Amino acid sequence: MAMDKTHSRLYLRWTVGERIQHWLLVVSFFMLVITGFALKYPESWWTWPFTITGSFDLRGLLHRIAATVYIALAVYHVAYLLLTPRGRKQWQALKWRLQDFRDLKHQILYNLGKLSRPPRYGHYTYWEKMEYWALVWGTVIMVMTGLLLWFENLSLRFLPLWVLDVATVIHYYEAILATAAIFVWHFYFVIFDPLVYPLNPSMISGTLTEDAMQEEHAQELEMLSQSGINPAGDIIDPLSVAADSESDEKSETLAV
Amino acid sequence: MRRCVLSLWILMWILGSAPQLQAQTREECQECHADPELTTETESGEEISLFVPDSVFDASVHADLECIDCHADIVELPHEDTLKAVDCGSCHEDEAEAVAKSVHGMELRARSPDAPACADCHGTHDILPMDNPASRISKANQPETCGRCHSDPDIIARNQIPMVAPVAIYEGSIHGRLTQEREDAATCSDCHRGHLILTPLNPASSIFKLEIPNTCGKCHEAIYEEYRISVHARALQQGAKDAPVCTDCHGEHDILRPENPESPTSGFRVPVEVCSPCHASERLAKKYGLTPARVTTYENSYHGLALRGGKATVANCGSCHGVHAILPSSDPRSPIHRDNLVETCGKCHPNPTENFARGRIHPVGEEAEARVIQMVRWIYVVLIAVVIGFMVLHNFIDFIAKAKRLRLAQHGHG
Repeated sequence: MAMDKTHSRLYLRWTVGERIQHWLLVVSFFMLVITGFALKYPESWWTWPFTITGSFDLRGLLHRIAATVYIALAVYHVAYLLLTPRGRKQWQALKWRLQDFRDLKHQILYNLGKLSRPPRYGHYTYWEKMEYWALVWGTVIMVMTGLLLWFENLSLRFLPLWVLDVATVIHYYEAILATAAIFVWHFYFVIFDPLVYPLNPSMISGTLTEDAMQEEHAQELEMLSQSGINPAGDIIDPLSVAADSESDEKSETLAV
Repeated sequence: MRRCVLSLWILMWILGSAPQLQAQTREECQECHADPELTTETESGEEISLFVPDSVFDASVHADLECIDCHADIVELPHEDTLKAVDCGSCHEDEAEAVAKSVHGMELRARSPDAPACADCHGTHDILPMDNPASRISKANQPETCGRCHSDPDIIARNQIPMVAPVAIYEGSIHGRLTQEREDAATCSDCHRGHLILTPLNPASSIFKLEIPNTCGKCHEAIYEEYRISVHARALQQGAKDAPVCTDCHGEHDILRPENPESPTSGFRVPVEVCSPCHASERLAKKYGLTPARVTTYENSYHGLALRGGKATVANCGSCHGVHAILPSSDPRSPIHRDNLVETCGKCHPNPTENFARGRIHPVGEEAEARVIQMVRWIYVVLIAVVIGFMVLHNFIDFIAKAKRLRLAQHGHG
């Protein structure tokens, strides 16, 4: 992009560990989606790869293997948020603030041409927070209902069968909601957004360029320049700086 | 022919008796009929053999009879060129009477050229007892004997016989295969009878709907006793003509073992091929107060999905409801009676508790459990519509705005 030296600076978006978390999530999530719908629509033509062993148990087995990876990842992620310094900063950055709702309204009005300037975002935009918290919501629902159905003999000792019927319905519809949300929301912002297309590469490279920061995290970029950080040539880690200015915004933090 | 007549004349001339003979013996008939080249022409000009080998006749059930016992219209020798058809009924009265009432008898009276007479099934001079393996009507040979007409496409077409290939289908069935190996498997006459063969619409028929359990029960006694107490048998007794008898679930000529994956009674075909045709039928539901939606709850359950995916070990209808002795849940003998549910579920699910029997299974309609499920479904449909709808709308506006900006920027630079 820009040849200017100052514009070639890189900003840390995701550490290697966070990127591994993301890609593990991608693999296990889509494995769950595919095997899950293969379980729900057993006769569909596209389920043929699961018929090669001749056993219906294959799709169930793969679903449970993927679920195990997914749940282990979720547990690790919670521990990461609670127990590591960077994780705690991520948690702070992911919290909903009143500003996010203002940004949402601002962005829509701007897109409709009612406002002349776009909102200036901090570390996470409202759509990224929506993405994240939708995932958390979906995970809670899917893991709870999924475990009830996985360990049906145990569940049936304490719950009547119709509760498992309800769990089946929830598991199914939540799967549709989650899959649709990934395709409509996440894929738009990281792939189909005209300013991003063909891909936002930060989950591969781990960094954002100054241009991308200016576009999507202008407020954070400004905060960084005000804090006087200018390690030429190095990768700047906004979260390490954000910790200091966090207290200013505390009053706006919403209960999640 | 001429040589035979000549020798007879010589014989009679020597004996000096009148040229008229009474009470001929077999030896006398064999003077001519032992000749392998003895033939005659039928009315249609076809040449047929009149040779009756002694060895064949001696081996037959009728070995002790004289020729004229059957060919009773022979009173003198030489006899007329054309003899009357043999009347087996002169001895076999009951059988002849039965055939006369049968579908074959009807065709015989109508002088259908395809109608089978006694000899067409039993043979003529070579009739063997049924238990002789070489007999045309031995258990193993019946399919071939009946098939001479019932596997002949011309005869079937000419007579508009609705069952187009019963023998071929039967030969693939468990009965068809077993008749070739053992004595006690059902062959054609075990179900259709030998002589009194009637259409299934005739109440006197062995395959009349209400008679089928008795017909099958001749061999399958224990199953008959189970079926007899079932809700299906009871419904039939009370006139519900749609209620199933053996053949409605098992098929007719094509019956296979339930272990055979091709059989409609094999585990993973039962729901679709055996129970659903009636229990998911809107027409029968209206008539008998059945609840087709219950079938749907099974299809959408894990059992139903895994079964559709080809998992044969998962519960099908029969796993819980029983097979022949299907009874309503109100009957204490029923495996789905509340007191028996724990045991029934326990057939597959290890260490079941009383809790297994709690709440309704297959909830539908206005039943409380079904309403909860329906409510959850609606909440989710609305949630999905609102959330995804918002996302689509939001991104659509965003896309248009950004695309516009991009075009402007490119335009500006250009």
